[in-house]
Amino acid sequence: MGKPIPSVDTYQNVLVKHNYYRDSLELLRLSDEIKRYPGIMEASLAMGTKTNKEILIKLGFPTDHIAKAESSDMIIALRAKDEGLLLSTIPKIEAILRGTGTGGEQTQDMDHSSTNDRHDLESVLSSDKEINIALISVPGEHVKGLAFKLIDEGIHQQIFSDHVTMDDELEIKRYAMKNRVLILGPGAGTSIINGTGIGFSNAVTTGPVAIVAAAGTGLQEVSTLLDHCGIGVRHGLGVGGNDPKEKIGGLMMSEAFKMLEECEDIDVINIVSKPPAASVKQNIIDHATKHGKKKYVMTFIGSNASMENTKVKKVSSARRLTGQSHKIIIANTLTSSVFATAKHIANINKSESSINPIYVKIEDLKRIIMTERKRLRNEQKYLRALYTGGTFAYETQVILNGLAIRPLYSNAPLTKAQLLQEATKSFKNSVIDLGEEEFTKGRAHPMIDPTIRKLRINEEASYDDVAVIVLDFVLGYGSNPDPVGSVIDEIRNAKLMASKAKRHLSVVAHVCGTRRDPQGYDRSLTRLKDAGVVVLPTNAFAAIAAAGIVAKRPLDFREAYLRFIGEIHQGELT
Amino acid sequence: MTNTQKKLLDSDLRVINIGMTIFYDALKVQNIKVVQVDWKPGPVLDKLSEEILSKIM
Repeated sequence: MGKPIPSVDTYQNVLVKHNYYRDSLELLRLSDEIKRYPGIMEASLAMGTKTNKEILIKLGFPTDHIAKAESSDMIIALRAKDEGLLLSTIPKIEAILRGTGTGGEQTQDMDHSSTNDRHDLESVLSSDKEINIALISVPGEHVKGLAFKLIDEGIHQQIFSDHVTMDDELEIKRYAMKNRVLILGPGAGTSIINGTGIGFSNAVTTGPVAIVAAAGTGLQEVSTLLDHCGIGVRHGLGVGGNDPKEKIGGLMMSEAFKMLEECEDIDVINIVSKPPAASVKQNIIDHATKHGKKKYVMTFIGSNASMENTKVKKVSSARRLTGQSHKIIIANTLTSSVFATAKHIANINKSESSINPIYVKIEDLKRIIMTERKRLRNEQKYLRALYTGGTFAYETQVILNGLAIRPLYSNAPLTKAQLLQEATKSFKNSVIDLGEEEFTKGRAHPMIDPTIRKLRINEEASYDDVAVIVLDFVLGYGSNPDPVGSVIDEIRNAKLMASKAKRHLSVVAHVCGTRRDPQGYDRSLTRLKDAGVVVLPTNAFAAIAAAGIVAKRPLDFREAYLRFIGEIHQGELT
Repeated sequence: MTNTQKKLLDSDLRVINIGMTIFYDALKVQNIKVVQVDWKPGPVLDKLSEEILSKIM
């Protein structure tokens, strides 16, 4: 570590510890703890990945030490009010790090988890034969060996880890099928089993719906919106985004269907996925039509057009959800999926469907959009969507493309032509998935760590041509303890900055969560509204609102609702 | 190796959490039986070494 560098009224320093690994989540928690020390203005502990180095430089730390760090090195960057405080904090950090120890050092629970009760894998496997599921969140290159060992023990698995190759995934899943083990993931952040949330999940009511999802935040959105409609979810199985691709062939989707078909208390199975490979899609539909005993809602986000090439019997399109009674419904957004499921349940119960808590009347949405549009200056033309949930980023692009919001770019685009040149630099209308690999290597997921989004809100708000920033807030187990509170100052500052430049910056958001989630659903909504944010009940409504704000021509709301909401209340059809 | 499928959907969960303790905490809050494994990264073999080892072992 070099001499502390004085800046304007502050001192800062950067220490690089070579070949020193700590989990990104532990480093995030330690960073937050150090930031609370009196006189410490910024503290960031991170592995030396490209993304982390860029963030530290954006936070104003000197580049020379940071640039030399490798991804296996840990960087400690500190900024304090005075030199003495800076120097005295470093040994404290070192002591905490030694306490968490590797290589024979003493173990101390640094990350404030409630567990001081850690075990080694072998002793757990040999002593506890009742374990029926493992939740795995280790770096991707270590997953295969671990998964095979657990399959040999007959233990089902939810693999949260990213960066597992498709070859490894296929090997793991084939071996699991031979041994009658269910593999959820890799890349599966969310599951619900018998009403218990595993990974990123919400406190939802248990009920007659099961969800099979290849889209994690998609599962969260559908289960929470159903909860708002008074409909419970008993099981939600996240099979990972690669499962419905040609190479994996939907292996675990098929396993999940078989298991769920045997559950007597399930009436509706809802499948949530980006459009699967054609062969996988046909297999899913064949399964449901030939062997399925349940009602099915197939939510292939944005895929209505391509259904023409799939052999489907008795399938209603999302355009004609009302009054149908067939076994399968196809929906193309998460919102239309929920409305379709609510209809199924209402038909089964011979009751009225209860979607009012999450429905926005056309006239209300029009009014919101007009209020925002009137306040914009002519040069404010573009939207910037900064998503922590990958499924939301995808769904929003489907809607924006469908409503002709162009040009549109993304770091996780629907088509190659819409690929953003640099994920860290928005261009015209941009939808950013902050959970993509370029942002998460060596860092906690943005649903936990708000740092990248905070910096990005500030940056987007500084551009004269930006009209609207779109945000998602995902509540629930595993997420940041206060997703709204962690960025509310940045939202207020962004609006203030725009106001000083004689602009109105529109911010549109939706909160994915339930009233029983630990972060407080209503409190989250209130704080956003108090900060001047337009809050909509679902991501699809938020995307349509944002589209309406930047659209060059007024939206055809009837068409937009028919295509992406799947529901228009009576009296709104004219 | 076992050929017996452990029950999952219709039975009480008993979870082993390998990795981020935030997920352990989330399960504890829901009163689920969970054990935390103290996992640290071991060596990762490159493809060639892995192939050689798989042949000789």
